[in-house]
Amino acid sequence: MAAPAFGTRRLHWVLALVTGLALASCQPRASVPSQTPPTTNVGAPAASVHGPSATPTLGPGAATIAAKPTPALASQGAWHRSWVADLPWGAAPGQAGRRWAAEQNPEAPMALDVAPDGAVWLLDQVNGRVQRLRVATDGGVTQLGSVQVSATSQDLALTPTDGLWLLDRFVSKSARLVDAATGVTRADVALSGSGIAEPGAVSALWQRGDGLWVEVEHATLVRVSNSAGVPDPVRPLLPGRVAPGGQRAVKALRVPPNRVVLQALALPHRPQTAPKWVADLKLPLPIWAIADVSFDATGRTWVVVDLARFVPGEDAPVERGRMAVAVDATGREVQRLTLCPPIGPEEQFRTARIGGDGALYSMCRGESGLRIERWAP
Amino acid sequence: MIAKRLAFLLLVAMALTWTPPALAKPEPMTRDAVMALGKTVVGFSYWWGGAKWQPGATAKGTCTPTGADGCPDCTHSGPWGADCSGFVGKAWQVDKPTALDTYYHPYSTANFTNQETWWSKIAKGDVQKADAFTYNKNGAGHIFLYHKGDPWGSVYAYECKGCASGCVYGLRSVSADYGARQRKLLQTAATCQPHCEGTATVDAKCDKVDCAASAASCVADSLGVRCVSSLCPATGVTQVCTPDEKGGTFATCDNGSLKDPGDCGAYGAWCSTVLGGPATCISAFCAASPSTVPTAGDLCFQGKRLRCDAKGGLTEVPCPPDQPCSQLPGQSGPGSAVCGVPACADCNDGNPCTDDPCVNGTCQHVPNAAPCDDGNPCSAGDMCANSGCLAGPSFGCDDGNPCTSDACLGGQCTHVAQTGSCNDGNACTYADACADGVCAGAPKPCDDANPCTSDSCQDGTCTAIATDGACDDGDGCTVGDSCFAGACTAGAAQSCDDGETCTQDGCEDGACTHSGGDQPIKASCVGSAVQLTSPCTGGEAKLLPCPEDSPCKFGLCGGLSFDPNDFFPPSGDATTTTDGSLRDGLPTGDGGGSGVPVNALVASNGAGCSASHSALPDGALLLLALAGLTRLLRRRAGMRRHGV
Repeated sequence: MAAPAFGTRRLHWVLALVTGLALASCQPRASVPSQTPPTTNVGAPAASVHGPSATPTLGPGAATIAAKPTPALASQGAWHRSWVADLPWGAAPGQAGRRWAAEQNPEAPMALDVAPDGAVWLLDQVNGRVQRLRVATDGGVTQLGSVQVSATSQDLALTPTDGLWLLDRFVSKSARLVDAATGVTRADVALSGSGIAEPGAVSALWQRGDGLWVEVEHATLVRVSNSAGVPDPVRPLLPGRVAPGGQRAVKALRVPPNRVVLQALALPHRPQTAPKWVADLKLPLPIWAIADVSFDATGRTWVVVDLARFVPGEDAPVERGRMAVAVDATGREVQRLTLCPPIGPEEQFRTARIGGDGALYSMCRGESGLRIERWAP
Repeated sequence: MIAKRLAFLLLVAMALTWTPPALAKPEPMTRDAVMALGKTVVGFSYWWGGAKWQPGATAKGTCTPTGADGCPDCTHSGPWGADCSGFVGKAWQVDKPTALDTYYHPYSTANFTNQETWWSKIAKGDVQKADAFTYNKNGAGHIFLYHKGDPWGSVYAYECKGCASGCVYGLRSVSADYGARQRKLLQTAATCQPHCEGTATVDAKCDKVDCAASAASCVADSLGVRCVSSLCPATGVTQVCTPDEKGGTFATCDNGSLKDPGDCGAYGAWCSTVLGGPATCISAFCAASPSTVPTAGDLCFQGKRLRCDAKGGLTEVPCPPDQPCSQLPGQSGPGSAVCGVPACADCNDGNPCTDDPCVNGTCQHVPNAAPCDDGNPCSAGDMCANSGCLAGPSFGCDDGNPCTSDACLGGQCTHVAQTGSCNDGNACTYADACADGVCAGAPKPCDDANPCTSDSCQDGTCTAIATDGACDDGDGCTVGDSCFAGACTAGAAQSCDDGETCTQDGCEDGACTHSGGDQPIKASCVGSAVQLTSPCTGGEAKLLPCPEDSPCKFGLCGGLSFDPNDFFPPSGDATTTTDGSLRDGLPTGDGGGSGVPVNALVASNGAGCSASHSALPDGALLLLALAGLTRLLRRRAGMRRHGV
């Protein structure tokens, strides 16, 4: 490690003294949250953490928005929250790693995927692992397994053949297919070539029936390999995110201050059959970012948005929230859900999605841990 | 660990307390200049506290974590690298211009977040390229350089992210907790009056673009200053063909700019302007080249009838199911197709050596093998081959006679006798020769001088077949000789019996001989005595009494054998077995009481009297019998003494 060039050792002592006095006279200095050193949990026996005892709390100046549904959507509709799991920060089984440190990117679990059997696969990259978790209806968390992965992984996608795709845009610059049980690498597919201007432009991984698709700039899908990791020389492109069965593609557009627009697009191979519509959804707070667009088993399109309201001169929002809105196959809004909002500076990549079991999952960060919610009809 | 945290504390303390020298001041920069510096950091290592890198250097440095909490629990190797605040400070060149490969790290995220010296806080919605997002709270902090946003609210950023990732460029989310900062003294880019400079355009920012690089020229008109493709008119929207090897590509000219490229070739078509007006795709079935005017008409392709229209469009016009699309003989392309089987004109080519069917509208001339006439009266059996008439063998003048010379003269046969050797075709003749038009030879000799065979010649080979019948074997002492199996076999011996019992009759050289001689003596039992008889005695028998304890059995006293050697001593001892039988394997008698030929016993000693027919006198016979018995008894007594 190289220390900054601040002069002589004597000067350091003087500065330290001055600094200490200055800090003591101003405001208390908050410390970096303590963390348990990460450990490797490959093959570790299943461990349970029962909750929700550690409900995330909001940071200073932030508040969870109250649901502001339209009258037609007074209730949360037919969907309800079936469980809430709170994972304390840490490295033990069932805990989630968070790293806050000086002069570097703060991180917490960046993504999750859910298997058809409801098992949650949590990309706990700070601890260099993917945890496979089972959550009971009371929020009790059982770690079913864990595989070691690169600490620079940012997204994951399950395959139907017990494989796990991991996105590493900056170090290996590849989508890596590993055995979901052992973590052994099966294939590495480079994030380069036709359709991918640069690895950093990749915004998601999608395992579809015909192979691995990577999303570029939240706008275009590029098939880069088959499901076994054999590179695709054709590299076909699809616009937007594609519904299961390929009936339509949907693009999402953030429209400040408080709208999100969904646009259904015709797919190149089904130009006549795909519906064409635009859903212009108004939100109760200014839109900060779109967190996810995915599709449930009934063909609905869900968009998850992060909301934030600011006042001039302040960096942190005075109000924030996360909301999921569903539209049906014709673009008509049919459902709104108010989700727990992400709090904190950590980068996120895929913190909400429709899982393989058709339910909506969303995770948010708090002071004491990570919360995962499951919403289902 | 403690030392590192202390160093970090010092870094924060210095940032909060240290006031830059009064003379330090950033230079004005454009946003592009900031971005140009920022992008050079990509690929370099994260170096906690570091802030120097050399664009183009191959050694990017390495950061290695030593703990789980991230840096400062890490080590760095190599000369280059930066942390997030060191990077942004360098890209912004605050608080003074500093070379990228020179270490200078005056500000931390705490400075960028909490102070406004050479930067200002701005609304997040106003962020532009070269601005920064920063966060610092509870001793943790991060800052990155904003490049552009995406449709979801994510941003492209240049940043030195952390020990594991290094310094990168990519799309990322931005937490709402980040604040936006803008460098002060940002210089507005230079301004120019847009104009053309030769083939180059000069825009309002004074940026120059040479249109020639894209096969265009600079045009300045009411639409502005722009590159106009050499393929396009300066204004308006139209489609044009664009050059390529296959002649299929096109694009849209939009006020001189080529857009929306396409490829007719993907559909088996040319891009063509031959019809005038904008470029269109014309089917390669309907025109031979992009410069060929398409021809209207039907054609067959893969069994389907396709119709070219006058503009080169191609549509399928199905034929009735029972009339498949057929191509007219010798034709292709538009106008070559009909539905159903096309008819033929007269296909007969007048050649008897070809069959002339009509197949799908085409006459075919298939060689056959029919009989024909080659016009030669002296040939017969002419046959077709390879579409022509092949002469048959010469008209039948060959009389098969090798002793005539045959010819066909004007359709008439002539046969002229020849002389000389020939071959009559008979292998059982030799020295064949023609005479008076006839070929004949002498018989081949095959007599083997054997009276018992019939000799002949077959296919040139002599054969002898055995015959029956009388013959003469040349022996005068035999009569009635006859042939048997191809040889003369002796007949019965000539009879020389003179009627005398005690003479020996014979034949020598065809003459009978008669000499005296003995006849064998026979012994048999009569009561307890031995009876001896001889033919030469006239059938008179003599009785020899045996001892009382050895009555006659089997023609011997006591039935016991006796050794003839007792009467005619041999050269060696004879041996008897325990049962007293003779060792020479001669029978010991059948016990039936029938007579046993004594001469048979005598003959076995090898020195007998077979040649002698002298009869024993009575006294001698008796002595023989007695001596034999005595000797036998002595031998048995000796055997008992020896326990045998």
